[in-house]
Amino acid sequence: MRLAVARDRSGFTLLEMSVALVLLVLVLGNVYSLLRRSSKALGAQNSAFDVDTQAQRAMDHITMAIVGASESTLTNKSGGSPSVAPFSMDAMLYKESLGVQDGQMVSSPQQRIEFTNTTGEVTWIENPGTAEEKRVVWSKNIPPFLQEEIANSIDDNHNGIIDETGLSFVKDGKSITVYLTVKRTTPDGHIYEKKLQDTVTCRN
Amino acid sequence: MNSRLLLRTSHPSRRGTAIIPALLVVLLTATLSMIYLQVSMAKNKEQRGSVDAKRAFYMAEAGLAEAFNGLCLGKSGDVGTEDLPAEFANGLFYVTAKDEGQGRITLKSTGLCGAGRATLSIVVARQPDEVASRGFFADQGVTVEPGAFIDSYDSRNGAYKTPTLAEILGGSSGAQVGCNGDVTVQGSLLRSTYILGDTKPGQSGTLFRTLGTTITGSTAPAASNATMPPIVVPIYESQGDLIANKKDIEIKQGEQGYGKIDIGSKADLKITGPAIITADSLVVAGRIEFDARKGPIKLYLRQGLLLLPGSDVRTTQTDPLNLSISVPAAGSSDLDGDGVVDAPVTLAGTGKLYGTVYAPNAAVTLPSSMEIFGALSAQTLDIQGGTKLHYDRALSESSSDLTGPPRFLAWRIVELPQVPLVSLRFDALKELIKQGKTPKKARDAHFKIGELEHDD
Repeated sequence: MRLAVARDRSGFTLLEMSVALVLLVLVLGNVYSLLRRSSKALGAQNSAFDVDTQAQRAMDHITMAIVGASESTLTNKSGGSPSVAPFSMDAMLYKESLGVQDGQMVSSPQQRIEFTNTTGEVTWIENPGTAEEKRVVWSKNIPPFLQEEIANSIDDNHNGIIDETGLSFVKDGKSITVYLTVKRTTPDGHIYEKKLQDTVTCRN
Repeated sequence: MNSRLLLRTSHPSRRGTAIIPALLVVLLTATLSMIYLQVSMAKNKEQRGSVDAKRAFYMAEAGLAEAFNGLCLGKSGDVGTEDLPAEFANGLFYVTAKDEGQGRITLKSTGLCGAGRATLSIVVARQPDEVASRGFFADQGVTVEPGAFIDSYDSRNGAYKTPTLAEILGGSSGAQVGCNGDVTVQGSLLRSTYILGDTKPGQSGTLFRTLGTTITGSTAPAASNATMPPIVVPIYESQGDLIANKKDIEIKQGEQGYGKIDIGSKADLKITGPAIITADSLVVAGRIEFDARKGPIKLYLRQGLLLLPGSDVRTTQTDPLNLSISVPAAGSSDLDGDGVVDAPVTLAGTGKLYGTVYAPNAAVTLPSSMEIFGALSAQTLDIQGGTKLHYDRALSESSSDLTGPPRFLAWRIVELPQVPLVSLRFDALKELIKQGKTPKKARDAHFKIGELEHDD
């Protein structure tokens, strides 16, 4: 009896190699598929989160500004006092109280929150139309019309106002309801949209 | 038998190679999981920060409500401090109260919850005091003797300025002289009496006036008689009598109770606001100074006020809203121990008094040596010849006497204060506990008037 030990000449058979390759392809395929799905889900989640965050931040800015505004100073874009309730507008001018300074009650310069349809931006403007004008963009990606609303002179979304823009204010007494929609389309064509509504009362 | 047993073994260097791709896959999956976890944690942190910020905002609102309630209860409006805020639910807040003059107070509340911070501010004004807004008023009769001069000014527009002759002749108005009964205004050709404003007897009262009197405002009787509300004297533990014959003494800010306060002819008494002082009586032969620059002074004298002839009265600020003297006493008593009975209110000293005096049960005589800027109400009022009284119209809108909840004026969001606890980016409540400090519950963290000093 001879005992032969295979050494350097030993190797994988073709069958072994084929099975190994097939298994490898299957595993890698699954991993790739998993990665792709994860990446997509993550991307979608991020986009939705970003839109949510952006909308919420813009809404917080707007509502806090309104809470600090003096109700008697609220006007619409043309400077008219929104006396009829409910009164809808896409821009609002106001002043806020700055408390007591040197023994006198002091008000801020005029400020304006407005929606610009062409750029899809919500802008806060201090001293609008003057040399000291200061602008801050509070949010982008605002669509021309609020979610579920189209320009057809009908209240499509049944909120009591017709053809309202992506940012709308409805004044009713000292209360102001803010409607805001943020809409973002990703390069792969997905649309993420967030609609927020908040009612606040002017404290001053 | 020629049999061959072929025993194939792997080369030692190739053993375990299958583990490498397996490890790579595991590593890749782990890396991906870590990335996903990091992203999730970052989002979670952002969301938690946003929630904390909102909670801190509402915490600051709660602080304002607590301070407002404190003001209604006669506290200073301060709640907690920047070093040791008050505990409320799962957060903290502290409120600072700043006297802005004219009866206005700014409350600034900082809320801390988790990593969230918010500071809000409101301005409130003390409610109009019906009594002070009446000007120089008496329940049972007012007599204005020849040569008296009564006019008005508005302390919100600056210090008092003597009206020019043109202003007097032009019908300067605003003064308030009133009574639930009759008003007698006396004058003479040599000593004219001027009341530059309204002089109103009671609903069924009559105005008696002689020649040499000028009244520029309305003299129609009041539509209804005014009530003289009773004085509610706060109860503080008495620190005993305060007697000073030669040395100067000072009553510092805060809520304090005394027996008799007796200031001899060679002594000075300084009262520093903000303060609420109760005492049986105040007798001054020397000098008394009211320093209300840092806050209002309220003086309650159960038995009486005696400013002896030759005594000197000074107020270091010119806002009548910052000094109120209330004397509920009805009967006469020997206040200075000289064996002679004294009236509940005697204002025979010299000087200028910026403030309000309310003595609903006392007959008060105002001599020419004392010039009063503010208002005074008594049971009867005798304004002697040559006396100058200046009613502050600001009293018609606010007063240092809290008679109801303060009126809200303004609200706003302000910048966070630069203090260590607020600068922390983690839970301040946990940090305080770690430091061995136990914050008080909000309801127990109020301060009395004058108990807490502010830098500004």
